[in-house]
Amino acid sequence: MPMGPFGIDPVIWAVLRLVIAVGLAVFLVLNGALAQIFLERKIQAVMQDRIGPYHTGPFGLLQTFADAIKLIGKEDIRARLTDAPFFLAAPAIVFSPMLASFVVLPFGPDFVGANLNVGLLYLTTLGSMTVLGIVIAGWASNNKYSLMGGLRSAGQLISYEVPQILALVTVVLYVGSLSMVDITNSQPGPLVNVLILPMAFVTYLIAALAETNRNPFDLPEAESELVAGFLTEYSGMRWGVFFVAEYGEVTVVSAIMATLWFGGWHGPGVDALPILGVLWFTLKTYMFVLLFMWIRATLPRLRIDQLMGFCWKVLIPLALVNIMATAVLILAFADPRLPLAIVNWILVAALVFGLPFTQRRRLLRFRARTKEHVAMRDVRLAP
Amino acid sequence: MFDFLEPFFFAVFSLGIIGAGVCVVMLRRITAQALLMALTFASMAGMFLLLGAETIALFQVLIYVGAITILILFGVMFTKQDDRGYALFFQKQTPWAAAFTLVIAVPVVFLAFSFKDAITPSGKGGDLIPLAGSLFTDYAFPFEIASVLLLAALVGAIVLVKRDEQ
Amino acid sequence: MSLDDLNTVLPEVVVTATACLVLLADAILDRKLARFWLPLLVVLGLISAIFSGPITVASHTAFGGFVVVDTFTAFFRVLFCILAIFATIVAPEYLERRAIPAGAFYATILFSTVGAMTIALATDLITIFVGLELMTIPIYVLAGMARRDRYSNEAGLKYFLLGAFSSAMLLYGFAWLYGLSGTTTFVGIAEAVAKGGLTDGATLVALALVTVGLAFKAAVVPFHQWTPDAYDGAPTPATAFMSVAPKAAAFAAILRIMIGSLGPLGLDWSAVFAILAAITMTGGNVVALVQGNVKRMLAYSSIAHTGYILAGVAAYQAGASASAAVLFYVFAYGIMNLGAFACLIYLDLDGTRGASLDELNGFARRQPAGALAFAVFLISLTGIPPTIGFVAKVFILQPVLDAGLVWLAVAIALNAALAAFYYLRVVVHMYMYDVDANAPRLLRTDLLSAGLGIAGLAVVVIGIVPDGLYRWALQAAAPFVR
Repeated sequence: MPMGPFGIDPVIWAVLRLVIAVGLAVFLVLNGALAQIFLERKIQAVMQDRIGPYHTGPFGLLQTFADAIKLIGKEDIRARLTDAPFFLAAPAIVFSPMLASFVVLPFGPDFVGANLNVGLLYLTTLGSMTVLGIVIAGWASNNKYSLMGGLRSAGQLISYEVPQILALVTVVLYVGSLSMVDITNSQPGPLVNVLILPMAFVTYLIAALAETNRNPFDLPEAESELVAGFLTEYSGMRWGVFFVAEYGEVTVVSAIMATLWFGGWHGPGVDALPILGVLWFTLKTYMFVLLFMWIRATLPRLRIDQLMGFCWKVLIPLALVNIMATAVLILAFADPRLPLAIVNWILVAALVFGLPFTQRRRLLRFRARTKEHVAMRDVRLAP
Repeated sequence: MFDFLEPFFFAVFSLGIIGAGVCVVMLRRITAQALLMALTFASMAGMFLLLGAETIALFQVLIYVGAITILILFGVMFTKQDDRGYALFFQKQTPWAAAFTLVIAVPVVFLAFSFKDAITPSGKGGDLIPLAGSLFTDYAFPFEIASVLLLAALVGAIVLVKRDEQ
Repeated sequence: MSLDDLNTVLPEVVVTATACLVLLADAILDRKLARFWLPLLVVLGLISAIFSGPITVASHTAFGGFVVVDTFTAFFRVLFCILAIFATIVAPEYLERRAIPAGAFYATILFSTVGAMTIALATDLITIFVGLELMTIPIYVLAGMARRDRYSNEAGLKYFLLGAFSSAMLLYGFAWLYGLSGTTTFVGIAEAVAKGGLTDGATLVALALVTVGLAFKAAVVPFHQWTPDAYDGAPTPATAFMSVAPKAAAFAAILRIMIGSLGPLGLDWSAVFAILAAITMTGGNVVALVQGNVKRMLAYSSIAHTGYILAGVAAYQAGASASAAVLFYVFAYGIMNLGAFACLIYLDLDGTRGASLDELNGFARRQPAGALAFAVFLISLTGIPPTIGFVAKVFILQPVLDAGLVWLAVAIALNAALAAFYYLRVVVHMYMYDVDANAPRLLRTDLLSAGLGIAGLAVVVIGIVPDGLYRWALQAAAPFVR
């Protein structure tokens, strides 16, 4: 009889492996979410000059656990006029692609669920499927605010998928592979991709913020306008699943950024002690998680027209120029790193310094119009 | 050991494609139809996976489930949400349509079995580099024409929905 | 891909570039400048496209054999460009009056032309399918372009739904062909079919699906139901273009696929085509007889003409003369039918879709030049000498008789006589009747009159000296001679 690992029958092992893998992923995601929620609350508190959770456990560490238990214990409420099958399915449709994403994340030199040769494409695909769940949640709630949330989500996510993929293509062009492991291995030294392809990074960062519904792109659940958007009718653990999925998404895009632009698991001491790679990877990933939280605490929410305008008129053209330049430079130079870096940094500068300029013109125009209004009112009011 | 898996998944996916496809036609609720269409697309992706074409399967999901279905739902949400009293399928012509379909479909299905030597998949569809290579060398012309087609469709869509000039 | 490959498809590149330029110019220029420059730009682009490609060449492949430029390709390239030029010249005043965005209209016509040209140079199923889609999708838009007009909406929607349906049919047929032969190239399929013959059922299914798909595209009875509504509702310049270019392209596809790649099957399918041809011409003519609306009547008459052309395809056993006759007829049909529809632009005022027969009363007195052109086109459509339509019918009849399809030749002759009634009725209304008191105001369009004049002259001149065109058609048909 053939033997699998640990002396287990291979048939049973195949199933067992699946169970273990999924269990591990769920464990990771849930813990990640718990940690992130705690972090988020603490960091927001610090930035807003508050203390944040402190009552339950040391430094309030157990607060999220308490919240999670509360959520699970809550009554499962489904409003009568919601569309039952879709309403119930939506959290799962949001959650499962996120969970599946963890398969290809390269945690360390030998800690990869599956080294797909199209790993990046796989991640993008799963990322795009999440939208479906959000749109369905918005529709099935049978509530106009939820519907608006779903609509915004659909419009926003489809638009921002374009610059996101374009940014990824730039890196893939440069590295020459879609495999997450290959991409990590292509940047062993201190010269990580972000120094060479910063424009792609900035594009992806912005698109990822929109893709994960984080500030300043959290229009689908904008509480000041839409109650809670597509989440309005959800409560208890169903709501919790959406939340966990959102934090999981944040982790996934952070991991993608850490891998594609910051060398993934590479770091001092990894060659000697491979397990250290996991630490480096986690650190880099959480660096972006923290960045997301910082952005959330800092930036106000955009209006929907600004959001779309920025995507289609600024981000996508720049990303296209970037792809074109990258492709040409890679073909033109044997070692394209320096020219690539120059072009990319110029594009970043154009984005960073160009944006305030266009906004300033708009502001001036607005002020002029207001002045005109005031003047006209004064004329009318004059006796 | 796992020989039974491939036919099993083939059965699951074909059931997904055909069953969901039939439901898309027969159901009354347009949202459910859109979602079932997504299921059809996803099952198609599964078929591509079975054929060893992972890249195409992923693109199928990315484009059809992740983009096209969403856009359809996006459009559906702007329409009236009342359930129709009838499915589009059940109209006056139904008996004629059914008879006609049977007359055509049955021979087609039977003749499908008369394929002498079907083409076996190369199983190399997962490899992106040869795929991209043939797309930009052998198939460059149809590929470029397809891009012109997309441009034309884009222009057409804008013309048909653009607000009138004041 | 090399520069040589690109050079091979230069006309297509030029037309695509012109389309993009037109869109850009439309965005940049103000309305007054655009009115003058856009049509000029389109016409210049198309003329340079005609001259950027070879007129007569030996067969020459490019893109690793995915593209072939032979005399057939050259013939259709020129034909499509001429049709696009004609459709552009007749349109401007109409577009302005109906507030149809002119830049988008021209660009859409150009895109469609690129698609049609692609069909002419395809050597495999993929290219021909992409070309067919690129040709038809802009046409759906053209049909629905008058957005405020309910009939135009209907036309666009109907055409789109049935077009998509037929494309699916065709694609399914292609999938079967691929399954049969393991290749998508016409040469490979021809070899596989020659080996297998019609013995296995799969070939039969593939053949049926492809035939039905192409028949939809060419509007062959009984797959013609979309035609009258689509042609009738669409804006008239769009109708003029869509009644000819897609049909010509569909016949290019039929020749390429049916003769080029399924030819080795021989007689097996030519009988089917002969029957379809007879049904189509009879059906089209009989229904056209009872139409009161001239635009609708012309729509049905275009179905009848499909039947005549199809008769030429059915007679392909007769050799090169059959294919040449098809090409010649497609050319003749393109010019005279586009012209006939374009003549209705004079009458197409707000609130009227086409023109009823009564509205045409005394047209000759109100618009002598337009009426003369219309009469010429109608006479040509009837097939009365000395017009191109007559010559085309003669060229069709000859191979039909050569192929031994005497009954089909008789059907053509009877149908021509039947058609004469309703075509000449229009001429009678134009010349013999008095103007109604409340007849709608006519559109004054110098450009339209000029375009119709040139086309009318071409119809008569080629009708008198058809040798040159026929010889060219014979050359173009050479790739299909085995």
